[in-house]
Amino acid sequence: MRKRVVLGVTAGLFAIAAGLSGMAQDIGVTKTKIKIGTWGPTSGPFQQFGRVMIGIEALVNKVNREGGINGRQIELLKRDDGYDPARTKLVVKELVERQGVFGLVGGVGTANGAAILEDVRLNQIPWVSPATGSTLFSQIKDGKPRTPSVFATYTNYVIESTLLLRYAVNTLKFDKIAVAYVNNSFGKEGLGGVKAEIAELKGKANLVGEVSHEQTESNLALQALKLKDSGAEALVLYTAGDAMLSLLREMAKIGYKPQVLASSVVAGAILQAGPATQANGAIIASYIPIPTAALADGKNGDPRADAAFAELLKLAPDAVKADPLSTIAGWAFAEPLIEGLRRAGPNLTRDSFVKAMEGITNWKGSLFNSISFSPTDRQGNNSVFLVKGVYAPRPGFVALSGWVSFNSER
Amino acid sequence: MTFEQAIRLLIIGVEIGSIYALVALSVVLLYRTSRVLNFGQGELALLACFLTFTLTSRMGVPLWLSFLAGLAASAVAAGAFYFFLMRRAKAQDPMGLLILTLGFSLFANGGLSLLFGVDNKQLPGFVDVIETWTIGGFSISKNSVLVAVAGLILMVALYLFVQKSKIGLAMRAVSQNPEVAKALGIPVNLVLVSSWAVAAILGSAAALLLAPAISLNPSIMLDPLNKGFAAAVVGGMTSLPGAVLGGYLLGIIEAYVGNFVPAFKLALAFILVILVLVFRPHGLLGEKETRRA
Amino acid sequence: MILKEHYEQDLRLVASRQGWIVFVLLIAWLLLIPQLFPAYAYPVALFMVYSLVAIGLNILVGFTGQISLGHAGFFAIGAYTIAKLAPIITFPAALLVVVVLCAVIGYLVGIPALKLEGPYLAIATSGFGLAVQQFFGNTPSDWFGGQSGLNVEKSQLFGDLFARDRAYYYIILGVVLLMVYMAFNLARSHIGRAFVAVRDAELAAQTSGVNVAQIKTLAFAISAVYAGVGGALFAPLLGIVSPESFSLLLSVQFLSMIVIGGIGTVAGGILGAGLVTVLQDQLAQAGGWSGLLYGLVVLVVMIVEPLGLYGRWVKIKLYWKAWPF
Repeated sequence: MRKRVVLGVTAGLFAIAAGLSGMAQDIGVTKTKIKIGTWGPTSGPFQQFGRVMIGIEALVNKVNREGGINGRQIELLKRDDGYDPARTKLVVKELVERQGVFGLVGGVGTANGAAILEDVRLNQIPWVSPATGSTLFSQIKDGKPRTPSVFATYTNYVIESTLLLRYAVNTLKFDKIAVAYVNNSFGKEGLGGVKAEIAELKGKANLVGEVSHEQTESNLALQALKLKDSGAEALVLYTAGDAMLSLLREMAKIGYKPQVLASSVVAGAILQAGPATQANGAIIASYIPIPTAALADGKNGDPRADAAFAELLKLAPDAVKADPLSTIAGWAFAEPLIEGLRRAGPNLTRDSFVKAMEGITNWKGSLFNSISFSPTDRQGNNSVFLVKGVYAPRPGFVALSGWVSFNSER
Repeated sequence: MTFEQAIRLLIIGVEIGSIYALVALSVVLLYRTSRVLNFGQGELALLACFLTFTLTSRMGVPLWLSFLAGLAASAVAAGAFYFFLMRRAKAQDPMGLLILTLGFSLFANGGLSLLFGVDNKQLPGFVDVIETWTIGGFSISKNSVLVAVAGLILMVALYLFVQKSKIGLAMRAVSQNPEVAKALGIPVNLVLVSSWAVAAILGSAAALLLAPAISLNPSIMLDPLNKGFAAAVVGGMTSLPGAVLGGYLLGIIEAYVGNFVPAFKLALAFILVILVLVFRPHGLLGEKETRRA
Repeated sequence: MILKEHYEQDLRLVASRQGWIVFVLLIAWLLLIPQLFPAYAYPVALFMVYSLVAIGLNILVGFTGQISLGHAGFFAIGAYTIAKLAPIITFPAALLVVVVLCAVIGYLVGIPALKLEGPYLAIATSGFGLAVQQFFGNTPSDWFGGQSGLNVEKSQLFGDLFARDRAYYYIILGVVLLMVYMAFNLARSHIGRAFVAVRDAELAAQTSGVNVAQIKTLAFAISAVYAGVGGALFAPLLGIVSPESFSLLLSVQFLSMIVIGGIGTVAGGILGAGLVTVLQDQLAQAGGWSGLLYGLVVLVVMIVEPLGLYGRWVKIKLYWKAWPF
């Protein structure tokens, strides 16, 4: 008898639990609120990467101030993972399973993202704009997205290095190319992109030098010397931010003056190196337009980038002044999320959101050139453009090309 | 490798070696008196850098004055950390003290990041970091010369301080036997506080010399501190000349090894450390510590 | 039972009836977590993995008095071995390879370590950890995936049954319980006693017939096995092994676990691993304050309690046992 009661109660509890999870089609959504999670390092040696979250927060603040989305305010939950994949999974699990967020936005690091990808796939959690250029997140398998709830917007490193290299070889007519990269997955992917494009250019260009540095290394005198000895005329940078500054200064010290071409990842900080270095005249890939404040002539910046800059200035003036491009990037990452939520309408569920995101084609409403997803494509943005870093009339950028788009299947 | 290349690598090795040597000296100085490795050394040096930066770049105080103020602040912070926390901590075994300094390092790094931000800052140096002199066909950067010369001056100053001054003598006494030193009326606490302060000054000087050439943010001391520990161990944890030797040796070896097998530079540098230790378990110039059972 | 009157009392794993009740409840609790609180399955699984490493490190540091700042290296070896071998030869077989491999490497590292002590050993072992990290990251990427690492998907290793963390949790729980049991036994065996003898008085131990060199290298080997198995369980739990995960910072974190938890006891390692996991989980919400707060907790524990969390627990227990006297 007693046993049966216990069994009955247990069964009842399970039924309630099942019922709850059945009802919870729109986890993290109420009539007045949408819970969204993001993460990045805000402690430890890599905490600079965490500033992407500032841009995301700035956009969310603006959207909320203007009345939210379909009457709902966005509640942004930010977490620190110290750039350690084990902790990334810890905080994302907390966001998803304990806080019950509707979806994720941003999230820094390739290995960090990879650690939660299986969970995201199994639980179909919407995730917009992983903050990494790895191709892992928009993989297509048998004509279908491997993880259908992920929507990538970051121009992947392969696209970017292709554009940089074509410019160096076809426009500037350099044939001796060298690469400096940080010894992690970001740097290695950049190196791979450069090598692939050199092979593609069939003999028009040669890779004469490649140097690497460890993530914690801050003095790159040795690497500068090796690059000089390689005799490269053009140098592509996939280094870490502060190491890049050291490299540029060490190159200036030994009088090595190649044409520098830099990845968007380090672009924002490059002008800190100073006018006597090769940062002066460096060619930089960017996937978001430049605000007036970061242009050398201080005129006619992109109005939408200006709006983002002004909003960021309120939230974190020091960070946005030190590196306008990477902070504004966070803003751009969150824009497709907002658009998707808007398009999904008042009956917001994870399914309706994914459908709405898939319906975004040639959308020009964000800082990105154009965003397109489809049921068979999860890489929403394939456009970059080139700018040049100069120091006159003031330190800033000069536009060099219009938007250039690539097929993401390359 | 051409002769010219060899010389250039040597210059790089000596410059970075000077930084390692200064950090190693601060590690050894502290170890001799307190028998502790201080993970917080990097944050003490960062404090000096950030303060110097704020004073000179934000408030317009002359560079040399801000520089001295930075050194003084880090010395005071180190002394206070020892006097108020280390000395009173209940965990007085070496492992407990090690983790205590780790806690301090995490705490201070978090605090400095909150106070001064995590973005790259440009700390001004006494010379332009890019300008060079040409001597006998070789161009040497003014900053490299400054770092090497300032390093040497600091090492000589430390030697005179430890060997000739009264407090230096007391430090040596404490490092040999704290109980006896106490019995002889040496103010052991004062000696320990000052050795923490002097160690902090050395580490901070290294950071202040290094930062203008790279950039200033809360993680720049991670690598130098790591190498400084390694250099101290190679030279011998009890020997001040050993620390200098270890620092230069590590800097130079790293330059040559890094030139040939860049991807394994760090690993090889540490494997060399292990090799030295296999043959000289107490470092090149260190002595075996006698243990009283 | 404060005073132990017989040797047998010291040998018992669980000391009293209350002890047994607590023990059974604890196991039941661990078994039920994925069912009752599925959201906590991952944090608890991670905690169990960390405790395994902490127990192993404690055998080395706490029992024999040697230090290691290189346990991230053994952890990485375990993780990478599983990532490479488990898809080919099944998980249990790969786990066995990890045990043997780590025992051998641990033993080999232990030999030069015999000559070293204190800071010298700390730096030398950190060099070992670094070399392992660079080996996995910088060898050609078709060996170990280079800097991108290797994906270890549970659904491919165990089929869909264990694809989710809350199912894989039970595999971890099983292995961890077994190894914790073995650690408790080891601590009370003649080998465990020899470990402690070597730590407290090397000379006296030697004269009592303890082969000091053998005992020290054995400790290294056992410790490496615990760290390696921890890594082996960690790889499928996380789903990816990449060199960035196995830095010096991780080794330092392992060491801080045992010092915070309590050096020289099995329970200390477990408590320390628990505290570190809880802090990482909870402080993530503190934004820019998380580093500062984490450091503050470590500082306070070390200033207030020399014996770590376990020491504090023993004191509380004794206080209530003796109350009101």
